[in-house]
Amino acid sequence: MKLILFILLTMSTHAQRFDFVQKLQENFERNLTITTLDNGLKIMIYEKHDVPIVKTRIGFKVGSVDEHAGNFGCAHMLEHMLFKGNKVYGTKDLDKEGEITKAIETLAYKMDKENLLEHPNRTILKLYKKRMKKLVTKLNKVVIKSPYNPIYSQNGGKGLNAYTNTDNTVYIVNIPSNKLELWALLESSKFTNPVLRSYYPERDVVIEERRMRTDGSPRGQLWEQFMLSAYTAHNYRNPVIGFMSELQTLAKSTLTDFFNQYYAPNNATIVLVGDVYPKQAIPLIKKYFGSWQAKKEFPRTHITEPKQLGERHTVISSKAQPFFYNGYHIPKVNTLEGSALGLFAQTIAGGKSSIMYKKLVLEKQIAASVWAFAGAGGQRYSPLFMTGGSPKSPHTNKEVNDAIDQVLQSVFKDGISLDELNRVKRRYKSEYIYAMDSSDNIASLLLDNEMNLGTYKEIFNDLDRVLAITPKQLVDIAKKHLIKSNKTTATLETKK
Amino acid sequence: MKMIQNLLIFCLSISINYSLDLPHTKLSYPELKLEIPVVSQFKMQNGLKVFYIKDSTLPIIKMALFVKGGSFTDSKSTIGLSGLLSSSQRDGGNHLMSATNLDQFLEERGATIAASSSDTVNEVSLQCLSTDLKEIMPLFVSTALNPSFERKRFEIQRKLALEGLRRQNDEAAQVVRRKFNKLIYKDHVAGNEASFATVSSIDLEKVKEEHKKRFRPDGAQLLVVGDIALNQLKVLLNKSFSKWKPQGKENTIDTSMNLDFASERQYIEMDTPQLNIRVGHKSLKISNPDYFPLLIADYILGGGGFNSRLMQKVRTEMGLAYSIYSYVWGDVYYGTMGVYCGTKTNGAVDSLSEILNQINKVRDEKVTEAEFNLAKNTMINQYVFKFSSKYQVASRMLYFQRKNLPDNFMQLYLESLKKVTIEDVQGAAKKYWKPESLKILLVGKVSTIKDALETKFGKFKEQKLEKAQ
Repeated sequence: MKLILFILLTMSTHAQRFDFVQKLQENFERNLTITTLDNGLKIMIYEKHDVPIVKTRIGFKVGSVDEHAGNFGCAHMLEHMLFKGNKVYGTKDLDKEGEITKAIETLAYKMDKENLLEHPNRTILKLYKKRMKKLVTKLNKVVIKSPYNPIYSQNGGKGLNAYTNTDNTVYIVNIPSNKLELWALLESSKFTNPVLRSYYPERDVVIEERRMRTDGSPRGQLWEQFMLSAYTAHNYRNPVIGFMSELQTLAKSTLTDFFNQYYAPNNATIVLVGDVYPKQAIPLIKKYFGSWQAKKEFPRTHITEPKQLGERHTVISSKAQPFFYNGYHIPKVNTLEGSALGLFAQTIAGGKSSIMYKKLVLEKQIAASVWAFAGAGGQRYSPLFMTGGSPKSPHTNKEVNDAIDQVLQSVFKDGISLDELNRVKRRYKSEYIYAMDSSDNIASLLLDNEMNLGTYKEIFNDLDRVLAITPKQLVDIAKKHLIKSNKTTATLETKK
Repeated sequence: MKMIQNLLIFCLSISINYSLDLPHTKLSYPELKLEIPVVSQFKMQNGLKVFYIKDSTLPIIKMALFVKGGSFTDSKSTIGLSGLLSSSQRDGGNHLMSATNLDQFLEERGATIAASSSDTVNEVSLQCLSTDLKEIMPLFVSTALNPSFERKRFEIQRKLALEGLRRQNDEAAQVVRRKFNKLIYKDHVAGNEASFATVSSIDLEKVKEEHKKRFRPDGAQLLVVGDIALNQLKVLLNKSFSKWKPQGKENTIDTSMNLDFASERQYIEMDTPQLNIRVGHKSLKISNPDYFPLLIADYILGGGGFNSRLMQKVRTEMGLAYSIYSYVWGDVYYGTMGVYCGTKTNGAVDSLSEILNQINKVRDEKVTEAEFNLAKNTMINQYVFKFSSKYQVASRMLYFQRKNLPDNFMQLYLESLKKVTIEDVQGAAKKYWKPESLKILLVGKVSTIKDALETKFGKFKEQKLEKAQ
């Protein structure tokens, strides 16, 4: 309670340091070591010695936001391909493999070219497919599929995986703490000199992934249409997995070019969280990653999303039950306004005591769910403030969406009480403590903030900004951005 | 107080041989020392059994109270009762605080009180900062033992449950999971599916009555992990739970199961670009000694991710699927084996064919030494991850006791795995995997491939999906 009084007394409109945040950050930094190798590779080690396990992440500042027409889906496709090994791992006979691969690529080039014609010749394609099948069978005899998996597994490694989003590509594996050198050896093999082998079957796998996540999923479909509508120019509009038509003919050489552009130590960050000692880990990382050559620069998009001039509305029709998304363009999350809108989302829709839940679910009883979130799209560039929900039958998307608008207008008119705001701020502070309960959370916070916002300190700066915001400031900022002309709505309506 | 596990130090070092002279084979590693946290157990006078581990890493307390109940105790006419009891128990306030005040009180502190149910238990859990425990503990206890079940909140929860049913057929992958479960368990409680009729028939009085029946200290378990000393905890628990009186004989749950092994082939027509396949049948219980060799057989078939045959063949080699896996799931009451695959519609025949082929191969041919060693060493060397957090260790102990498994089951797990031979693997697969008894369910645009499908595998019967109301 004393702490809260102190906060109230010290609130101002400027970002400032709060005692609570200062202590939180000091405690956090006591366990943290950061260093950068000569080649620009950043290493962040967070020590937590309760269990002999280390959660490892290697993040690259490259995601779908770095793609353009012609290489859509490349960041994600590369993520798949980098598990295929290098010249040492993944092959039984490198020369023979090279020969067969060359034949496959020549044939694949012809197939893709034929497929791109307005009227492809089905007979020729059938013949090509038959030949391809034979070649792939031959190739399978000389390659070792997924070469890193059995090595990690036998050594107790778990959760070998990766993900790609708009901003980043991140490679994950959890290891028993005595296997750190094995991790350094295998991960350096993965990134420094990969062989993108067995590409064409993997391209089919990614096509299946798209069918699963997007084309076959009502939520995936609406999300894709929503982003394409909310962003008209900026690269956040592009689906991370790529468009089906482009995936079907995405050439391996395009992937190689993309790899050469973005995979370098000075575009990467290593995060280790767990039973790891910097004195042991840093020399090991230096040994295995030290000779990796830095690159001069990384191509980045300079497109800024043009100011939205009016409300947009996209509708898709599906057999699924109705739901919808709304988005408003807002400033980056590491700004006063960005933090304020995060706080605003929590204030109006965070939990059952929030005004939105109370009005729509408990009082009007028209919605099955309602929510708000600031920061959709990504962190590196300006994201979206989102609201959304699903109506409870027989109510409609429109009824629920109109009711959300009414809630916003009433908050804009009546304001937020100091009492209400302080309750949300108190929750914010507790949630920072809960976040430290998980090594995975710590790893993600470190990596995201460092790579996308420039420093891990943004974890704490955000809390400082939030604690300093006044009710008037909060409502003024929300009022400025959450306006009709800045709004995009995507709704899924049920086919009759 | 009984100290269940002594402080044990496991030194895990399994030698691994590689035929290829790859760089990592030259590495050597220090021993891994794993200190297994001790779970303290004690029983309160009213029968409530407490499982506790102190964890002062952060100022956080986690608790969970389990009572006998769960969906297995729902009658056929009130399937969905357990879930509705849980949602309205938390949502409807308690004798100390109204629903609205409780929501606000907890949320401003970032604390959570939640209620849920699984197959044989109802649970109420708590997470809060240790500094807030004193004022939140009475609310946790009151939510568990003296919920108010405010009528308005109950009605809202029931309507939300119905809305959930309305939306349950939106994604094909969910449909195939739910309907396959029904195909395997049929009329047994494990195959229970809530419907508009059953959920609509549950009234508030029924929920209150059921709460009274289920929430009793005899047979109940309480899990506590966090920043609190044992002596403080005991004082707190005495104060909180001493008025909770036992009701005599513990609740019993009928879990007997006599599942059929008849092969069935069914499909559900859905307009979706992927075809979802599930294949499987009932299998052995976790208490069966053959469970461990069967786990290794499953790892080789499809449980071992990229190290498994199904993933290597159907995904990596044939490029037919993104998601494909197998599982052997053994409870103490029942078990199942199964395979899932999501594939393009015109890849379904080849995918299903390969799935059946690989099940047969693991049964009929001895697996290779390399596969066997990979599976066995992986499971043994990943053992350390079973102790990732103190909460995980304590909750597992509680689970073992609930399922009548020995307290040292984790040690037995490790020892049993070490004893498995390559012959045991094939023996178990042959004994428990019955290709002639497999149940197959497909969900997707099956009509477009029906001829090819039936030519290869025989007749498939259409199952109609219930319409959303």
